[in-house]
Amino acid sequence: MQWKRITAVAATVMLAAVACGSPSSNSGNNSGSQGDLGGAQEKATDATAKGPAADVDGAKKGGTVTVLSDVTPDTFDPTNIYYTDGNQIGKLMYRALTQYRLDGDKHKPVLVPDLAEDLGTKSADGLSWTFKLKKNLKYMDGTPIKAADFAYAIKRSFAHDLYDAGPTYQLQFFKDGDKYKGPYGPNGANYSGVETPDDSTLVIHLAKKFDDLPYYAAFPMFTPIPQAKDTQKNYEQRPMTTGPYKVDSYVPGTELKLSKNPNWDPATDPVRHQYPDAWDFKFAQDTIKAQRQVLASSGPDANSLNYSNLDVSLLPEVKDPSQLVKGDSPCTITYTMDSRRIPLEVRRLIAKAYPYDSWRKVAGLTPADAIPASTILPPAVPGFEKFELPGMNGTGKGAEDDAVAQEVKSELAKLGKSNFELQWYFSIDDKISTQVSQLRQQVFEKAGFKVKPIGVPKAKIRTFTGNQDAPVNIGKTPTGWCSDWPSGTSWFPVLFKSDAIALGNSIGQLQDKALDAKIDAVADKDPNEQLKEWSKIDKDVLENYLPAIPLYYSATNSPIGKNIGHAINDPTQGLPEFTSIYLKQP
Amino acid sequence: MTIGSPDSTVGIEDHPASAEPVRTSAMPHGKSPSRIAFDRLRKDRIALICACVVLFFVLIAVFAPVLANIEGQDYNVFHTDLVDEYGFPTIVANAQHWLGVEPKTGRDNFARWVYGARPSLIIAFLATVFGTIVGVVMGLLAGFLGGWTDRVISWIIDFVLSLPYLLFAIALVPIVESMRGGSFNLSPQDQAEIRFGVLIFVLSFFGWAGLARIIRGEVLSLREREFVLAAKAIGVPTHRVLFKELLPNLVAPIVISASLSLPAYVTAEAGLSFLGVGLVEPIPSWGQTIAVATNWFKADPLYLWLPVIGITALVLALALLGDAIRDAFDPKTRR
Amino acid sequence: MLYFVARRLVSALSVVLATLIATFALFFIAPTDPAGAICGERNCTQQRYNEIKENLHLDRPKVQQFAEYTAGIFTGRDFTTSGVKQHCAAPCLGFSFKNDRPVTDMLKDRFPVTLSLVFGYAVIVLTVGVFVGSMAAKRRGTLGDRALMTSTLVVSSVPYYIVALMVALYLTVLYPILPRGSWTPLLENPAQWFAGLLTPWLVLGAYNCTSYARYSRGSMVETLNEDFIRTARAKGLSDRKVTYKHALRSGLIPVVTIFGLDVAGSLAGAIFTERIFDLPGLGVLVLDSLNSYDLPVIMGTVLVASVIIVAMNFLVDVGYSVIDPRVRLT
Repeated sequence: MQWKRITAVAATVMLAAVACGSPSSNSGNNSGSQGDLGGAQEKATDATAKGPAADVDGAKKGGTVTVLSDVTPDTFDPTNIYYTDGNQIGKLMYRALTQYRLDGDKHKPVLVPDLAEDLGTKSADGLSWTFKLKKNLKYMDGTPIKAADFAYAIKRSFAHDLYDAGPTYQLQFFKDGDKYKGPYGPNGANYSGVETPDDSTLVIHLAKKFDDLPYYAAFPMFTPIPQAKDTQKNYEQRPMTTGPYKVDSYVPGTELKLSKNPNWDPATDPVRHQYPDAWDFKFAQDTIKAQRQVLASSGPDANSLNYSNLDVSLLPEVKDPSQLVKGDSPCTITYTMDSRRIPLEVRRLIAKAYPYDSWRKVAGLTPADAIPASTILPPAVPGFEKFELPGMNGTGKGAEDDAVAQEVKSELAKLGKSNFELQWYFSIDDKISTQVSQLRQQVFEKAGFKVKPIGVPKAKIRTFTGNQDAPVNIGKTPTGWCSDWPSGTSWFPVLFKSDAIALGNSIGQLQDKALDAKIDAVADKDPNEQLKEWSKIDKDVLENYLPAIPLYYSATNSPIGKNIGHAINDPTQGLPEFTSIYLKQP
Repeated sequence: MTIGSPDSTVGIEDHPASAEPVRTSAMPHGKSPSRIAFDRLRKDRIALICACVVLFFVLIAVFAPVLANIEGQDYNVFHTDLVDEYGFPTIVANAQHWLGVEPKTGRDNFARWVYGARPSLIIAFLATVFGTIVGVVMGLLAGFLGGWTDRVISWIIDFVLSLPYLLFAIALVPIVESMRGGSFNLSPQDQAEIRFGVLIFVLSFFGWAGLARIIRGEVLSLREREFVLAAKAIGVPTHRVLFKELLPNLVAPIVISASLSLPAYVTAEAGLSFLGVGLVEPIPSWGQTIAVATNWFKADPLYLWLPVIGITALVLALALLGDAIRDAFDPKTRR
Repeated sequence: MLYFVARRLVSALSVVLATLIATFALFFIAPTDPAGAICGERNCTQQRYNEIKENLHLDRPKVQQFAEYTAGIFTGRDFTTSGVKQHCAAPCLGFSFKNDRPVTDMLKDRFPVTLSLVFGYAVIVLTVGVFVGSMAAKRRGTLGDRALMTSTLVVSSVPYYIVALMVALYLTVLYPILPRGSWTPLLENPAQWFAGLLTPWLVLGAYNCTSYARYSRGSMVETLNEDFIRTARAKGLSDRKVTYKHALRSGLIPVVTIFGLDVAGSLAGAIFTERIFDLPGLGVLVLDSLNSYDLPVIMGTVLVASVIIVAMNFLVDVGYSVIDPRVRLT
């Protein structure tokens, strides 16, 4: 579909969410500013945070904000939300156990309690977590929120056939996660993984240790849902909302309209505000058209915004740079190589030959939204430290340069691997994918490799690239990763250990016991100590294992209308933050 | 969205000149309808101009490699150094790149333009040939044999004509492709070529029915004429009757249909490519280029206008030529 | 007469059935994997895959699946997932793979857009096109007539989407002379509805006016030569009355029948217009579903479009035979 997917980045950010299987949540320490690839960060939680959220300077109440979106979130059912945009929009409607507050002028995300009183208390053996819940809170229709509702929502998330798009950590970590199939089947009411000893306490029992649970608890699937109101597939039409807004109408794929929730109590919410009277999300708009309207900001368009990255062909039309929301997003895109099929030395040569600069141009990436990467961990994640291994900083001509091509060719010959065959899949009906594949083919062949690109339809490519045993040795998914939460523990143990292959999220198909042990050692440490260690693992992985070549960190570069105030980037999602936006002239 | 050609048998322009060519003693008495038509065509200035334009495009398509060689560029080579980091071309037309380069990839516009003429013409031509052959054969069989054959074939014609052509074509392309190119171990060039063949198939699939219906009608009326009855009485085998007696009398509708199909197919292929269901990379196609160029039209209008002019000129010339051919065959018009 | 109608009805129904089978076959011949598509891109366990197959009855013989699908169109169907029963109300065309909505609902959402587009188009084409054509017929042979005919020929020879694209880019984006194409439901904001559809109407209408002008001109020329017109003139009726009151009525019959088929074709998807002017109609629904291989939606839309076309064909045939008795004999 040419018109809607112009920049590979807009697609890639969303696609990367799929490819990596998780949208971000990162209480990154990195900030709103672009060039600031800062160093290691302090802890980012505040268990004592209370509402109300600090007022934004100059904020006014009133008016309707229109969001013209070219992408269409697949769902607004809280149990089914996983993509970054569904998540971000969901924050307007659904409060969870915890949430991220963006602090200071660097908008540093800090994990704070939301509907819970604190960030949860872990039992001694680490297999139970207790959350004390805030009392006397209500849904948008005035009915009281009960602890049982939280438990029910968690049970609901196990009906994974129905809510097949939602996150799956609970299946892995919660007690009986592999056996319990949700509340709808026979015996669905009994689930030993959640307990509500009284009406303001929620206890979660785990099958294995999950120290990042408080971060996971910020996901919309933890919002309370009363069992009596659960209309399953139709729940998203009239959901029980706890956030500052309630759903007026929802036409899937077309429009979502929100209006103020009279029963949202700002004194209990440390994060959100309720400045605009209403929100109007229009989906499936044409990218260029919508973004142009937002930039022009004439008439009612001044109250609108678009949350995809600005298409590169519109860059000359930006007259007022304050109309662009910029910031980091917790995603890194890489070029993956199957380490079981390509020897380390050859992988290093591939990294040498890769045409970074040309590839960026053909793929439609711009410096505004795709920062050349030299590490696995992106700047937005705590624990990030900038380092650059020689020749691997996301830029360069690679084997387009004749000298380099010659070098790679002769090295291959020395290794006895001349004409080493590289195979990958590409989308036959996607222009950019085909062009990128052609570019790589041309350059790699020049460098002495043999190349076999295999074209498959775009709609099916993920089935092929997701198959760990596919007959290709390059480009298996995930080809990039976005943090599920702000910690290296959502990166390295998930991506580079031997068990990642079976789970379908291995980058590079590494199966090295020594590396496993090193990663486990860091994961076992205290979160504060971890902050200094992950970067060392990062360097180790790239230097001694090179399962993938880092290509770029994604960044936000979204257009907003002239009348929109306090639109800042949320580094946990890589999207503008909605909950503190106001209209300058309501 | 075309609704078929207006009925041309209802009087069109009156021309002062008489219809009958002046007969000299040297000319054979009585000309075949085709001869008459051809002569009238030769005198039609517009038709000649159009024919020249079409010929021009055909030559471009045929000699595309030569032309690209003269310029010294290949249509597939990326020149990312001529494109800035945002994808905008840094040069306009110059000595190496006569019509500039493409945004983002930096490929040469002129080479892509001359090569782009090929798929449009080849697909249109092949689809017309297949559609015409199938249409004529089906029409002949239905009209001549009558009875159950006629009923079945007429029903099939009705069925094909009542399918929502564009929707079906769009839906059909990926499906036929996955049937035909089931194995995925093909290179990009192979895949593109399969798509090429699939397009020809899909376009002719929808094209033969109209002609079949016309031919059937004509055969029905010709069937009862004396020369046919006489041939059958003598015992001429059916296939000979069909091909030697009837077919020559059907030249007019066949030629008209073919000449009107060509522009329709060129439009259809470009349209499908524009929507994204037509030709794919690396085969350059005007329709595909138009789709991409739409986004860059403000920054790089040349990129859009090149394929637009190409398609428009080609289709216009073919359509006007087809119309002139139809008029030439029509005994009711006076030139 | 009744025999004629019955014959036509049987023929129409058989075509619809054939279309149904064809679309269903499309669904299954395509080596796609509906269960795989639903199971999704992320971790799809074999167990879940099997469950989906069972829920959708994909493991039953194809003929049975077809029977169920057809029955579902008339009576609705029930699907069970994860212990939850989902009822798909008649006419049940399945559920979208992408967002799990009933296909029928999606089509219902899109239909007003296409309908509005065709409505405005019809108004323009039937008034302006026919009027210009009849005027040309009256002034047959004059310079104006010849100029009109030549220009209409040229305009209709240029591919439609090129014209629409250029208008959209240069007259609504670069120089906003005309309002940009957009969709607002009529009941929500009539003024906005009109403004958003104005440019597509103008482009679509103007482009096809040329064909209608030629058609009505041709038909009117023939009618104006008829005896009853000569009688009317001999009776002393004014020229205007003769043309617009008497000739137009019978001259318009073929035009109206063509219009009927044209509308059917447009309802089935003015895809280019919808794509270029950003209108969320039926046509672009298929295009979008194609990219995500959302087969139920593709099937449903194609089926509905075919039915519309067949129905219109049928109505036009019967209607025409009522007006012109000679047709019944063929």
